[in-house]
Amino acid sequence: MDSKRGQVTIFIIIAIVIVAAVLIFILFRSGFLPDLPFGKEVNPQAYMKSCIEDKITEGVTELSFVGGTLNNKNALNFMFTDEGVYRNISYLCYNQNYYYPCVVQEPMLLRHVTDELKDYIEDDVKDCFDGLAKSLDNNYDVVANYRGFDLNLGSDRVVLSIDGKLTLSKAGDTKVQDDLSFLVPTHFYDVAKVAQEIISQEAEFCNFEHIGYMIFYPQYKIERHTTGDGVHIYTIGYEDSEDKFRFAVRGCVIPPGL
Amino acid sequence: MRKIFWSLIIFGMVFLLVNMVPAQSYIISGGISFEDFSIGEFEEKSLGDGLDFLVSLFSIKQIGIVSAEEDPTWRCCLSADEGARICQSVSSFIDMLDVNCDNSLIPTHCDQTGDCVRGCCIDEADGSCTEGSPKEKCSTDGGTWEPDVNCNLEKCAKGCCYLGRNNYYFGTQKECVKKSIDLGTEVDFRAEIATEFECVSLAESEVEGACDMGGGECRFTTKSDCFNNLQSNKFHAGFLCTHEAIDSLCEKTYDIGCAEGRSEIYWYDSCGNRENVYGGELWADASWNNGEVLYSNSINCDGDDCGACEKYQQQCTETKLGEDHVKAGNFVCKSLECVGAPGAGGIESEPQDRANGESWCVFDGVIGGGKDLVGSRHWKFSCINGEVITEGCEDYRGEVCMEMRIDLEDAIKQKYAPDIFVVGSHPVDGIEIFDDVGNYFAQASCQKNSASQCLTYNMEDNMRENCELDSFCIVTRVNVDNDFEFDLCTPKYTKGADLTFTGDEEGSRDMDNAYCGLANIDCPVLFKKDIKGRWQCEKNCDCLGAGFYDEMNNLCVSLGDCGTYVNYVGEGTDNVIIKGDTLGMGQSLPNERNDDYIKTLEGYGDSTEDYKFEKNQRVLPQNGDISFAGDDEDFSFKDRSSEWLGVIGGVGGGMGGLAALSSTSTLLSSGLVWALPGEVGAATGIAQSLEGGIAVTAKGFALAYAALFASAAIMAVATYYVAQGMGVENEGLVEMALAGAALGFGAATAIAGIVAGGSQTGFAAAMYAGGGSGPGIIIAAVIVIILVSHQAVTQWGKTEVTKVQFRCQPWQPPMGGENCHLCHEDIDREETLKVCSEYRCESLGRACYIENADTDKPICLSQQYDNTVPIINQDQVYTEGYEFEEISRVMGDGVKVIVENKTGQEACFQEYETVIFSLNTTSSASSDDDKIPMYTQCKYSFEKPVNYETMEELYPSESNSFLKTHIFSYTMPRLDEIDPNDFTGQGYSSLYGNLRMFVMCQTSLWGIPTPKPYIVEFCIRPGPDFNAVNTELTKTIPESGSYIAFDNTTQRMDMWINEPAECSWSKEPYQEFDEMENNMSCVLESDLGELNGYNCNTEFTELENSVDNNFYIKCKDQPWFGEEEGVEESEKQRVVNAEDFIYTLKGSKAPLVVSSTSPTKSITSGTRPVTVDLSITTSGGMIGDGVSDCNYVWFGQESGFFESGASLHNQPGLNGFNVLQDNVETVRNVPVNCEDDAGNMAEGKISFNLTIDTQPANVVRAYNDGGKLTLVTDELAKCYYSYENECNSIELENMTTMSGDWSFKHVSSTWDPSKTYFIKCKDSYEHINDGCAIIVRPILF
Repeated sequence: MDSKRGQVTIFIIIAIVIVAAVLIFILFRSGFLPDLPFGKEVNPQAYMKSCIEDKITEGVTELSFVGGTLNNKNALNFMFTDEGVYRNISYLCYNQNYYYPCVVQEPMLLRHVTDELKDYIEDDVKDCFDGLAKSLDNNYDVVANYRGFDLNLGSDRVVLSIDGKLTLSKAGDTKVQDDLSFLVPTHFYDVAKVAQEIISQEAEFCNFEHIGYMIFYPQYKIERHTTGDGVHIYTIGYEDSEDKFRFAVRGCVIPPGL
Repeated sequence: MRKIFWSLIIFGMVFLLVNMVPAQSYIISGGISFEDFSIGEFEEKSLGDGLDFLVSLFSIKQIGIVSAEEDPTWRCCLSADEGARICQSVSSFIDMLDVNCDNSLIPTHCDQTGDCVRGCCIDEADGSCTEGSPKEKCSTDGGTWEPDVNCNLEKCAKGCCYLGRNNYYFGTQKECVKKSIDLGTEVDFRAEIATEFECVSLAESEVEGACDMGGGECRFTTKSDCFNNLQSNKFHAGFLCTHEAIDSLCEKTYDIGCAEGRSEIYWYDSCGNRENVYGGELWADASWNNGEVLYSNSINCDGDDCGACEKYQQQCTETKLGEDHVKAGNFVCKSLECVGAPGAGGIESEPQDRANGESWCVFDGVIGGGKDLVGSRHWKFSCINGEVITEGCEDYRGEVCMEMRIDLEDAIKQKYAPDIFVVGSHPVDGIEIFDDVGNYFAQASCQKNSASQCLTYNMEDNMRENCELDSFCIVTRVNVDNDFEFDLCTPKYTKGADLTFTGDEEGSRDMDNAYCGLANIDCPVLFKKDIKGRWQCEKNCDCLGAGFYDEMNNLCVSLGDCGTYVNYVGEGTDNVIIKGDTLGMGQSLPNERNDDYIKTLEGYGDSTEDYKFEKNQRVLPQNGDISFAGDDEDFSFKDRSSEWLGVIGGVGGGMGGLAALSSTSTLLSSGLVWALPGEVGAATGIAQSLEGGIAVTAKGFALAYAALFASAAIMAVATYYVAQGMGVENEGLVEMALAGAALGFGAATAIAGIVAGGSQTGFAAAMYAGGGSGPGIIIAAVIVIILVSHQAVTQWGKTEVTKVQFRCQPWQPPMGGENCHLCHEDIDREETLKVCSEYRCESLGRACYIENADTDKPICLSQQYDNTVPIINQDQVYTEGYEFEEISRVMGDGVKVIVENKTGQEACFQEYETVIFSLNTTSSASSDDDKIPMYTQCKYSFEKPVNYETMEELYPSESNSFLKTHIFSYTMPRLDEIDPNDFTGQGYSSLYGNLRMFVMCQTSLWGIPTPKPYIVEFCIRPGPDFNAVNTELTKTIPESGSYIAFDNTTQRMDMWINEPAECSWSKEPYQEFDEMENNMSCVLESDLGELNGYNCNTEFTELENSVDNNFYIKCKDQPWFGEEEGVEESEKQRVVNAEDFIYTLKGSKAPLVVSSTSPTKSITSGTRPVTVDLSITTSGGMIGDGVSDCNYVWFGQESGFFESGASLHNQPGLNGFNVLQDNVETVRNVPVNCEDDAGNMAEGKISFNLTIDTQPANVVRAYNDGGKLTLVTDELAKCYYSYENECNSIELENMTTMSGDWSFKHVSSTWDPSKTYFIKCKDSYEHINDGCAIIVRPILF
């Protein structure tokens, strides 16, 4: 009887172990738990995300308020008083003459802001990758091969994909990590798309009916400030978020006097 | 009713918004997109016209005719500031040095360059299309550039993209693919939905239901979402997940909440699925509707406990603690209305509730009618989600706010038909369609102000028609007196002027001076001496009254920030000058402002009530003949004295005739004698007397009387002409003719007495006796003496025309800066903000300046008070050969302008000689070594002024502007106009007069004047002017050598000469001045010179085609000598040109014609709207080469060809024909008109057929032809086949190409009966079948 109980106990234990093993396997596969190929060391994916996410957010914020170009010479130095800081707001559509419609300055705006964001985070991504390799170096023989990274803007996200490979070796066991990518939630792409629509219409019609646009798409809040010398400053916001995109347009300006 | 009402608001609002974007854009761009929505009633005016005007104003006249490719007025900078700016065209109006171009400028407009030509930039990765993109930049950045500037391309065609969960996006197909991938949904692109409105409305109309996902899981969603995203094929349309028939674990609850993208409050089930709209607590079961969908418009609840929030006007919102909410939970329908929003006059005016999405115009005071206030701006207010948003239209009134209103009640009556919407404009346009409390929905927009165009209409024959058709212009009528009334086309909404007067903008108001000066019009007033010798006003007398000031100032103000007017807070300054001579008749000129008039002006800025004033001004009087001031030819005074001469002669002669005839016949009673000429009677009497020895009989006396009266008549006529030659006029001539008659009568009597020698017989004795003998002679003599003396003393009948000069000057802000703060006072208010700006600030005071202009809340501050006085200094004498000589007088220091290195009379100016010199002003706070320039306004006078304020308004050349250097141009008067006390020297040969000009200035900010006047002295010497009119300085319009239109036989010419003179012309060369048969109409007064000199004009006649029509002109100067007594002597001092001034008008070679047009035949387009390129060629014209400027009329809007000014005229990329029916050929006519520099005009029409093909090719036949599958399509196409069903893919790469390149017939390489051929075709416009074009199963054949 006792042996039967013992057998049952053993079976139960085995079953628990099997179930636990299966669960752990599933959880690891699903990514629900950190990927720990060699125990409880650093998870490269999580490491990279935590290392670079703030920088991406910072870059997005910086670019958002200056029309997608940092240090642009063709910009309007302007301050919104509730923000308390002057910014060089890029002219995305500009004509120095009076009367004439503006000329689009960044026809490939989305690609341009993507490139600007890449430039902004480029060094940090490299540093993070090196930092990751270094943090793994304590426990493994690490061969790090960094070839760069790719950045994609999409609806409600920025996706960063590292073009690199980490080869980790320990006691004859080798693992290759070459799919480091993650996303950062933001509506940067969405607001930039609206900006593109605005400059397209400004270039053609000298105007954009932002009130109507907001009625159709209530998730966007578009503010237009017209300066004393006829420059339009657009600020596009996305509902319930801090995501904004601000830029300037100068076109079809009518000079003072008859 | 309420529901219908709100539905209409929503409908009207959305309808408008759908159309407003292109509609407003159309208005500005001059393009057109919508044939099906009439915007004609809405204010329309393209920017293009005003643009053309300005470009032509500044360039065309100067540059002549050039081809577009070589246009020297444009340069293109491909890249500036190290690539920061691209493709900037640089006009010749911009200082080239200001353009920091990275490379050398290309000598043409950027649109003409390969790198900067604008087109459509397509982002292939994202699918977006950007219009108006420069080619090189697009390509370099990785985009695909296409030459269609408006992106009317298949790739850029937009459709509706469903992104799941009631989320729709209107974009291109590729954008849809990208977004769908990002959001993890199936691509659902609906190309057939062509408008954004339809797309966003789909969310409302999508059928929803329960998506049974199995295992008790259920999701309430759309069918598409269920099938495509949730991967379920069990969709129960119209069912909730809690329906009994659904195998779901979800249960109904009493939870409520808001839903994304929806306005209503909803019930939610236990799985979190949205159910029906919350219809009130008591409606819990009813609104569950047994588990079936109950559409929100079926929810019949009202009041606070209702979840059927009105879309667009209310929004489901979660409430906070303590806030009211519906009974079932913490949610409420929050109103999105703007309650108590500011009215049309801004925050001071009566508030009004506004619907969400509504926008309306707000003004600072009176607008329109040429009365917009200085510093005022038009504002557009909008109500968005319960919040009022303020937006300023472009400052300086570069944009004006236009408001369109929809009468919703009419819409209700007409059952929503959109075309019955009464579209009107704001009441200020005089069309009061709606009462203020009526139900209307307002939409406002800021539109470009094309005020500049208005003045150009004044040069056109059909000025009134054109002006009234232009909604930015009005006909301004000046109606002062019968002979001083005229119409001008002026801006309806005046543009603001740059009020900046310091810093680098020195002289920035020169242009303002120029355009304000357009209202510098003189009113000629006719005076005549009465019988007592007093001057009496005869014509245009109202020009001496207050009405002249008011009317002329209104005209002046209507030019924009000119004249006596007020700023937007109602503070005004006086900026007009009225000068003239009333000939001592004791009447002052209307220099003083009329108090009532000024009060009216000051009230303009107070409230919205005032702008209705403008409405009353719209009805203009329609008088008959109109004479224009300043045109002496039109202002003619008919001298009636010659009629009196006829009377006198007639009486005299008649009496003679009567007497003669009565001696021989009885015709006396017949009365016919009165018809006989006096001379006949007189001759008869004399003839009969010569028959000899006629005794003093009745017959003899009759003949004697005839001779006496004949003498009187002859003398009357003779005296008349002599007197006329002596300058006697009108009643004076009558008086002198009567004196002559008396003289003739008396003299004849006296002579007859002498001849008769006391004899009692004979004709002489009869005459002597008939004349009254001795007493008669005495009476006649007395009459003569009285009449002549009276005329000599009183000059009765003498006339004089003087001109009341009106000078319109730029408006100047009030002195000081006490009102500066008014500009930004809204900042401190909670109400909506009107942002301060530089223009607004500077209009409030001269000491006001803008601070923080580079922020969204600039403020207006006042300069610190500064009582530094200005010091006037000598600057420069521009007249060659003269110099300053410093002087010091008791009354003030100054300079004397003298001939260099000369003294005494030799150092003096000659009469009528003009001197140009400048003075500058510096601060009294600066040292002699380091003088600090100071901005001042200066005046001068020739009487010692008491102070600056009371000085007469005589300004230097810059008028009333504030400058550091002031230029004076002054023409010396005649010596007899100088006070005799101011003469120096003795005898005519050494006599000269001294003239003192007193100059005072005041500082620009605070009006601190110079303490003492600065004296500029001149001396003037007499002496003959040996110089004739200098023809080298003569300017003409049209210029000599200009062409005239073909078959034009007459041409007016205006000429400006350097001194007053009489001018004549002849078609023959070398004529003496007096022999020239044609006199020109010339200004003869020395003080009526214009900028270019003294005007003469004439009309040349008998002009011929194809030849040089030469005219030979001579002038005779110093016309005043001709007016004086002792004419012969003084005439000798006048100088006539020895040489002819040859003026040429060239006749055009041929009429101008439109010789060819393009397109001529058929156009088929694969996209909508169609883009059409227009082209025409012209021939003939001025020199026969067809060079001209051409316009085309596109949907009622006339615009210039993009490339014109040559014989070939091109206009690429026109949009239109949006609503043509597919595949229906339509004839289109585009009127064109051309004009060359000679004024030759041609008209034509571009006619072509148009077909729109937006459908893919259809396979109309499929058959086996020799073992090969053969298809026939209904249009040129390429076809592809596959054995797998690839028809849902838009990519054709995986399919096999059939033979035939853009062919109707397509052949496969195989015929395999075991296969099924899935075929798709692509037509030549890249249209691809949505599914398969045809599926062929050979086995069935």
